[in-house]
Amino acid sequence: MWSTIVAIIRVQWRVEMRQRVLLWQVAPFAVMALVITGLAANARSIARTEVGPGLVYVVLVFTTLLLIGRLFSTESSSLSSPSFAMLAIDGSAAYLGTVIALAVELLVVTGVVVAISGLLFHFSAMSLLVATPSIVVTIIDLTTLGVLFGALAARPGQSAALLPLIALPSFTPVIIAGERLLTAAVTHHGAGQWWGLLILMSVVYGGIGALLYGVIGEL
Amino acid sequence: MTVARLTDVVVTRDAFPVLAGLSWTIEHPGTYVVRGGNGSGKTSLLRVLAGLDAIAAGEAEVLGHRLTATGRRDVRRRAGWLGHDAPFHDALTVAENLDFASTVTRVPRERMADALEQVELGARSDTLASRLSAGQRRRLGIAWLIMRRPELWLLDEPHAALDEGGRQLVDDVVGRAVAGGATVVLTTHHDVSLSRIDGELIVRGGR
Repeated sequence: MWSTIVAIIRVQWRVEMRQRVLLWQVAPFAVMALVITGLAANARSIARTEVGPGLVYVVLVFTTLLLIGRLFSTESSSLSSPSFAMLAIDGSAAYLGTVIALAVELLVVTGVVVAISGLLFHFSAMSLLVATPSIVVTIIDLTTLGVLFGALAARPGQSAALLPLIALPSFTPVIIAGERLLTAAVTHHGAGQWWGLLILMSVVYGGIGALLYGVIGEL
Repeated sequence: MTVARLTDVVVTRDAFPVLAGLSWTIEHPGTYVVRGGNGSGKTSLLRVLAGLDAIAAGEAEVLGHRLTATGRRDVRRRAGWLGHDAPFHDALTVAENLDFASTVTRVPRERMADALEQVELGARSDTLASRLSAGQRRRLGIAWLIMRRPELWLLDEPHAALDEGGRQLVDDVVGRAVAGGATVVLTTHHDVSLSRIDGELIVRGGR
């Protein structure tokens, strides 16, 4: 199982290094979306520490959807092909490998988004440092859900619009928890109770994904 | 052991019966040819034999596995497929693609060099799959089958996109696989120059 996970991660990153989708498509989209939402919300207003965390996560949600949609559209020909199915790859290993590879890529983009949000919304470096663990777990949660739904939406005959339709409602509790923890970090208030929800969702979503990913391929 | 036994098999796609009560038995390993016009159900038959499609009615057993969800996965572990689709990632080289496939299926990587030589792609191991011609991609698919050594080879129009040398290569590889005890089922529109054909099925309207 571990050799399969490592092989999938290695392939995903090798493809990324050659195609530079993250660098030339996903990261520019995330930065532009953040700046535009910041302007739309009037980032110079005195309430920027209150609206900023929510806007950061709105951008990260759409960035996640873009990255996952891009992954499965690039891969769809091979993922849904008979030849790929004939490899009979263990579903759990395929899921975990894809989640790990994608989560790391998404964390790279998140680093850029968070750094720019610091400038845009005047978050201090220290508060962003405090928020980092919650941001990492939130991204992992988004990826565990996103990959599962991405596989569902990539099945033959499904519309590309299906991914946001089924993913966004499930992302909502993750985003609320992540936003509360980021707000708490930048406003120096406690919000420890949200940690439990965030970690619970990591375990539950990760477990469901590992169990169902292979089943989706059999549908 | 009977290689495959299909009895009144029905397979539907979007509520349309692509196989409509087809029965066929492959008793012994050997070379079997499936003929039929476009849309007759040749590829659908191969997909059932590969464990790729579930059957809606009838009974099917391949390599000793009944084609339930678990049985189909077991069949896929023992069968090999060569179809029209691109089985490899365009952004990976020939060697990287085979390396990935062999890692996830636990096929010895040491078989790669010989397999690539057999399909005359030995000098192309560092070429990106995206830069291969249609015929070379087909040869790469054959190289993977040579590496994997499946018990059941399912070849969907294996001579398509190949030049004369490529077609001869397919026939040679099929001959060696059968000599090694495997079963090869291939679909075709054309006459084939295989030295040995053990059975033939003509499919019309999914039957």
